[in-house]
Amino acid sequence: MNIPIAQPYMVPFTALQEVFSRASYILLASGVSFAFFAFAVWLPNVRLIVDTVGKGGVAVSAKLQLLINLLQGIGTNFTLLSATYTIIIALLFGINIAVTVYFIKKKRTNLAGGGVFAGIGGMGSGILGIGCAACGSFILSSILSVVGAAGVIALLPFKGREFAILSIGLLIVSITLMTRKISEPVVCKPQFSKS
Amino acid sequence: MEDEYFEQEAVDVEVSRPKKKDWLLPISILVAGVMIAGSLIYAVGSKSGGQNQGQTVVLGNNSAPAVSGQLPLVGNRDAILGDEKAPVTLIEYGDYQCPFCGRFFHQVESSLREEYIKTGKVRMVYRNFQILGAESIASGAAAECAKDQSKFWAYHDELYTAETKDNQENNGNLNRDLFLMLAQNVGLDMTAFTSCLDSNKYIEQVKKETADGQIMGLTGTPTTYINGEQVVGAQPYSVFKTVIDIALQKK
Repeated sequence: MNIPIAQPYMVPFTALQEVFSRASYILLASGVSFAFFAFAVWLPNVRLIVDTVGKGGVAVSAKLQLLINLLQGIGTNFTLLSATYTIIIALLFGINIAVTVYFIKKKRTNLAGGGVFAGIGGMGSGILGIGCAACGSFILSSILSVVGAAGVIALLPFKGREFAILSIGLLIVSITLMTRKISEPVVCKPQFSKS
Repeated sequence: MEDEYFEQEAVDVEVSRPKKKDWLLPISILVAGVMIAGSLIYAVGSKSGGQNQGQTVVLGNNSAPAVSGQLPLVGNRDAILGDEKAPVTLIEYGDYQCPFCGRFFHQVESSLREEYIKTGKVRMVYRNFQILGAESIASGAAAECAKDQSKFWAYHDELYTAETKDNQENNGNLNRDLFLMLAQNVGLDMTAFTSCLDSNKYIEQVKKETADGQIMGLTGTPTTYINGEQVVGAQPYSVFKTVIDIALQKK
């Protein structure tokens, strides 16, 4: 009897299949992805949202309308490139969180160091790279302006969007490392006593 | 004896359990949380401007110094589009080379003019936030020269129409020849316009308005204020409509 052996490059896909065969993880990934996407699109207008949604005297329907309409800004306020990487980062972010939660629950163990650090790097880099094309790298420019170095962005060849590309890479690395860990069989680790 | 041997060579078999690096999960959550919360707090805080929160200072009259976080009001140098007594004021900070300002001009402004400005509900003001280079500043100065002849808005429209034909920044198309041609298109007094343009009369003013915008905390173009409520970016028309309708309800 021939038992099929998974090729190493198929391992992440097999593990992803395992994770997303459960509806709860699809929901988790979708929720986190949407939250990240909304965060990225709403961010430049947080003040407007706080002023409108957070205060009384405005109809609930108008508040909801504003939030929904602002999401449509992905089509008008972003270039095709920036809209594409924003959506990709949001999807990878959701997948990364779902895979991490699955890993913790299944293995009941501490996280895989490399995967976590790549994941943190991906999230951080993604947040730095957030920004509509009209307003540039919003967080990065804000942070740099605090330290009086806003001009640094102009020196970057892609005006801060490097961080978005870096983020995609780090999130893919993080998901790959996590899925490999998920696919590892649970084994007993020998610990020789030092007597 | 045999038992002792096995005790010495015993292998402690243990399923991998969390012992070390348990801090990885909380730290990762903490780092992500701090970054997101920090960015939100900064984004909100930087717009509110600390002690100047909600302060309104008249700009556009070339006299009042800009203050961080201030809300702009209409000044005596502003060219108003629409009814001067309209209940809602929309102030746009724009750059003539910015493709998103061009998008705002074509996709949003035309609808705003039809639905709100022509009906006397909204008055509109354009301010210079010419951040994309020398051609932007020169365009802003040329439009100010047109303002001297009360043809600012016609000239503004011509500039955006000309620039959005290629949407390329700093490619040399916004030059003296174009400014003169547009001036002719809108029927300006060419002697007065040429003199204004060649003397660089408004270059410093445009630079000052742009610097004022930076002090106010603007991060990009277009940025608009609707009765003091800031909307960043070339948002869809529906966003502006919602914010204007809310402002009209408050009146």
